[in-house]
Parts: sequence; C-alpha cells; structure tokens
Amino acid sequence: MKIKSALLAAFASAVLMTAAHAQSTWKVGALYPLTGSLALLGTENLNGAKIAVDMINEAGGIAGNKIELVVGDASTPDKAQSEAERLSSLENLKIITGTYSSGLSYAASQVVERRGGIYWETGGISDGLTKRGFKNYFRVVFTASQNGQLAAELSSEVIAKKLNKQPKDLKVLVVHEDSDYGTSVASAAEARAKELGFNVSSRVAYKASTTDLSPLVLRMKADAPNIIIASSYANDALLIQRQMKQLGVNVDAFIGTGGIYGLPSFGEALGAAVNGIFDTEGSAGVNTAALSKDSAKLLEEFKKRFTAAHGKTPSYVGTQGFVGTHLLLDNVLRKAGSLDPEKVRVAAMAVDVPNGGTALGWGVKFAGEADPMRGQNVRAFPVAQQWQNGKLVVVAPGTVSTADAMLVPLPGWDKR
Amino acid sequence: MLSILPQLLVSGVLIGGVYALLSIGLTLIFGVLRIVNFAQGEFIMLAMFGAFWLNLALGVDPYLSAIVVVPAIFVLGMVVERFVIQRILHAPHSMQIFATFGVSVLMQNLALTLWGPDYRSVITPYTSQAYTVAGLSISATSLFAFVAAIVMAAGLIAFLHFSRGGRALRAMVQNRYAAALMGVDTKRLNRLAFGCGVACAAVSGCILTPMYYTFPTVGVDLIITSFVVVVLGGMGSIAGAIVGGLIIGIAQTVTGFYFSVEFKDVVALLLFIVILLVRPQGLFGRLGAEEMGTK
Repeated sequence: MKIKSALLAAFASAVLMTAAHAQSTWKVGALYPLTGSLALLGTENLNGAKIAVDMINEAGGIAGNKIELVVGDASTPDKAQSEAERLSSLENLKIITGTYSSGLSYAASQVVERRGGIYWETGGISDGLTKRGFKNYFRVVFTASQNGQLAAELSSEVIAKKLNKQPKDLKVLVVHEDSDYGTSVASAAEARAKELGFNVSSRVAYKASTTDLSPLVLRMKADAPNIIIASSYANDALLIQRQMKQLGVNVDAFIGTGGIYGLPSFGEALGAAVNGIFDTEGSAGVNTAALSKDSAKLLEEFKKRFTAAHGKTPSYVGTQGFVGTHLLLDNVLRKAGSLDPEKVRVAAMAVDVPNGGTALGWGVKFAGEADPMRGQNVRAFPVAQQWQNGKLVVVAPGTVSTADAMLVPLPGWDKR
Repeated sequence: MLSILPQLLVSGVLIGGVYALLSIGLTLIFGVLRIVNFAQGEFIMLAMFGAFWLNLALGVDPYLSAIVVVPAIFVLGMVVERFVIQRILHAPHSMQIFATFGVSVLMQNLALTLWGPDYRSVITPYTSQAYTVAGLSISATSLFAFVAAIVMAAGLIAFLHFSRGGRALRAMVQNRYAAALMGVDTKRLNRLAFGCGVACAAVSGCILTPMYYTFPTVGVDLIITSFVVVVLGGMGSIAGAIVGGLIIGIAQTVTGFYFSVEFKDVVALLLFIVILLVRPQGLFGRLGAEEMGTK
C-alpha cells in the first residue's frame, strides 16, 4: 500500500512537472527555406535566430517562459504558404518570424495576417512587403530601394571623388538577375544614379539560373561603362567576374548589391581578384564605436557563439537573423508580457531604439498606420563594404565605416 | 555592333560545347532505355562534389579527378539501374518520370544533409584563363569542355558502330525481344548503358567544376537546357546532341547580345519550336523513337 501510494505520488508529481514545463514554454514559429536553392542563406538566417533564442533562454527566458522556435521549411512560395498554414492553425502559433527571401515572405505573411497573427520579417527586403498596409506585419531590415540607392550614392560620394570626375562624365551600367529582388534593387539604383547626374547607359536583366553570361559581358564590353552595379544570385555573379576577365572587360569600379557578393564563398572563388569589389547590404562588421555599449556586447557574444557552433564567422544574413529575433524577444515579447497578437503589436509599435542600438548599427522605429510603408523599420539602413585583402570592410557611410575605400580605379585584369 | 559578331559566334560555339557535353549522357540513356533520366543533373552534381573534395583533400586537379570520380559514378549508376530503373522499364511514362524525379530529389537532399548548402569552388590556374586568337577570346575551361564533348561523342559513336557490344546495343534498341531471342543479355546491356550514361554526366561534372559553384541544386540549373538540346537533336542521337548544343548555344549568345539577355532562352526555345514543327523527330531522330523497341 505504502509503495503504491509512493508510486502514485511520484507519478502525480511527474505529471505536474511536465504540465508546469509545458506551461512555461512560449512557442514562436520560424519559417525559412532550409532545402532547395535558397537553403544556404535561409539556414544561415535561422542559425542566427537560434542563437538569439539560446541567449534569451540562458538569461532566464521571458517572464519565466522558455522560448522555443517551431521551425518550418519554406523552400518555395507554395511551401511557405502551406507551412504558414500549418504553424498558425495546427500548431496554433500567433507569432511567426522568417523568412530571408521576399518571395517567401509575401506568401507566408498573407496567411498569417489573415489568421490575425504577427509576422516578424528579419530578412526579406522587397519594398512591396510593407506596402500592403498589413496591420501585423513588421520588417526589421532595410528595403531593396534603400540598398540600390546606396550603390548609386557610393558611386557619387566615394568612387567619383576618387576618380576626380563629375557624375555626368561617368557611365554607369546596371545589370541584374530578373527576380523581384534583383529588379527592385537595380531599378532603385538606376533611378538614383540618374538623379545624381550619372550617365546611365542601360539596365540589363538576365536569368540567375543561366549557365553562360557571355552576351551580357559582351554588352558590357560594347558599352564600356566606368561603373557597373550588379544584383546577382550565385553562379551568375561568378560567371560575370570570370567572363569579364576572359573577355577583357575592365571597369573603374564594380558594385555588387548584397547576396553572394558579401559571402565568403565569393572571395574564395575569385581569390585575389575579389579585392576592390564593393558590396552594399548590411554588415556584421560596422564600427563598434558607433554601437551602444549593450549592442556592441551582444554582437561580440553572438559572433563568439556563432563561430563556436558553425566553425565560421557569421555573415550579414546570419547576423540579421540574430538581431531581428533578439529584438522580437527582448524588446517586444518581453514588453508585451504575452503572446497575444494585439499586445505584441502595441509593444512593437512602442519600440524606440536610437541608431546604434542594434548590433547592425541601426535603430528601430516602425512606421505607423498612416505611413505608406506600414510596419517598416524606418531606422534600418544598408552600408557599403569593400573586399580588401580577401576580407570585407565597411567603407561607407562614415558614421559606421572602419576603413577607406581603395583600389579605385580597379586595376586591369592583367594586374589582378 | 556588328564587329562583335565573330566573338559572339565563338562564345556561342563554346557554350554550345558545354551544352553538348551535358546532353550526351542524357541522350544515350534515352536512346537505349527509352527513359528520360530526370536525375541526370544530380549525377553531375555528385561528380562536381567528388572533384571538389578530391581537390580540397588531396589537391587533385578537377580534370584529373575524373579518373576516380567517373568509375565511382558509373558503379552508382549501375546500382540505381538495378534497384530503380529496371523495375520501371516497362511502366507507364508518368511512373518513370516520378521514379527518376524521386531519385533526383533524394540525391539533392542527401547532398544537402552530407555537405550542407554552401557554394564551393575550385580555383585552378586555368579557371579564368582565356586564349586570344586573331583578337577573339577563347575561354580555356569552355574550350576544354568543347573538346571533351567531341571526344566523348566520337568515342561513343565508334563504340556503337564498330564493337560487338555496340552492335548488340543497337540491335536491342531496334527490337528488344528479337535481340533477347538472339542471345543478347538485355538486362546486362541496360545496366551498362545506364552506367555509361551517368558516367558521361560524371565526366561533364568534373570538367565543369572549375567553371561553376558546386552546391546541392547545381544540377538543376545545369541540366535544364540539355532537355531542349536532346529533343532538338533527336532523342537518342549522340551526333544530334552535339549539333543541338551548338545551335542552342549560338542562338542564345547572338540573340542575347542583339535582342535581350533576359530572353535569350526564349529565343532559343522559339527556334526549337520552329525546328520541331518542321522535323517533329528532331534533327537526327527517327519518328516514333520513344516507342521503338519497347513493344
């Protein structure tokens, strides 16, 4: 009898403990492309997000609750949509973060908004995402337009000055892969370059999945531009550089607008020839003097953990996953004190972080209802980096840069 | 603008060689087994990873790595034939598509799990090298791919026409059952042909490693044009794969420059449709080839 009651007591306490455990977990959905052609950066973005969750949990969680990410593989827009359905209805999650790619974000957030949940975007940059007037859609990162504009501004403020020329005497050629990402960045770059007085010869689109870009590179040759601004995906970026070398196309400056241009694999594939190429996007390497004490410490801790876990330093994409997710947990959910979408929305709208307050150098303030870019973080901005000695360093804007631009004009291929 | 035409033609011929190289294995497999192998791109991807790892671990030149990689993929191809292809040889087309497509998805995700999604690359002294002849630039890697395509095609054609095994294969292609009655071991020949077809993919993988990034879904991007090339050249025709590759390559490069880089594939496909309207069996194909020998 005694044994029986002891067993019963043990069983009851075990049940109670699991119940208590279940109660103290807050689940947040995380949608990223983990298979298929976007897997590389989708996984990297998620890895950053996971470190944010670990750090919050180790520091005691939020209001006594442990955070758990429920991950969905959104490898295509169709899958993004069905995974968003699964997370919001079957798993009954009200807060969903993601998505790295804009196309996937469009599809997934449509579902989440309809079901009244919060969608927290930490990676997709297509302008249109925050033009839909969604009530519960928040984007932490800068937009494609901002990124393209920066490429043009870098051309006038840094490159033209180094060349001792006026924009009107410099020919700019914009080339881009023809998805939403490439098109929106490149058209913003083209428009801004024209505003700044550059002689923009043309804007040429191509398919990222192509196996050959000699027609594009021969167009470059025929055009003979001083500056090329390129939005590319992966193999296309490599083809452009290699075929430019093979076909002898030399320019004064080459600017890539994020993606592969900012990844170690780009430097590895080109060797020393990568030096001098510019890249506009966010950066994990902004001048720490421009960061608040707390965010500088967070960035350092994040880099340490990421390197330990994955054997490589985090790229910008991993860092944006970390920064966006940490912001959601530490600044928004903590303040809201609940996973109720309405409370979370109010808490998000109340966030007011000055510039330098995140590890990427940005501040955070979301555009309100009346704004045509509702839900956009108006304090996010891209930076310009340059490959120098096989590494990326931030060269503009001056507030966050760590080095001066060099190798302008770019040496000819015979000297690279 | 017209002064650039010779260079466009040269570049078009070179990329055409790459397309031909990628297409030979596909057309060989179709020619013998009457199966469209949707996993062909993944065998290319595996070979690229093989070349990459051999280069990273032992510093082997990617071209040389073919000595190890091609036999390995050949064996893998025979295994796949034994356990997948053989079982669907007489199944409806839709099932054959599902089966080879399934192999493709499996291999992609296996590569993703084993090696991760990173873009890997091999740098060799000839990676971005070009020869200049009469003011025309010739990419070293593309030239090698072109030469490899011609050698591979010539070797296969010679094998099919002048060797005993090749005669048996052609007999089987004409009529499976008659050939079997004459003592041809059709099962063994099928397996051999599939192994050879994916070994061709492996050769192209090793040769293309210095040109492109290696990653789990690279096969999809590389093989897509080959389907067009194979149909254009005539399904099952090796010479057709070469001519088809060159036509598509030149059409894409010339129209890409003068008309639109973005729509260079569209133009090539329009040409493809026009040729098929005139010659539905493809340039070197025979009418009804897809059913031939299976009934």
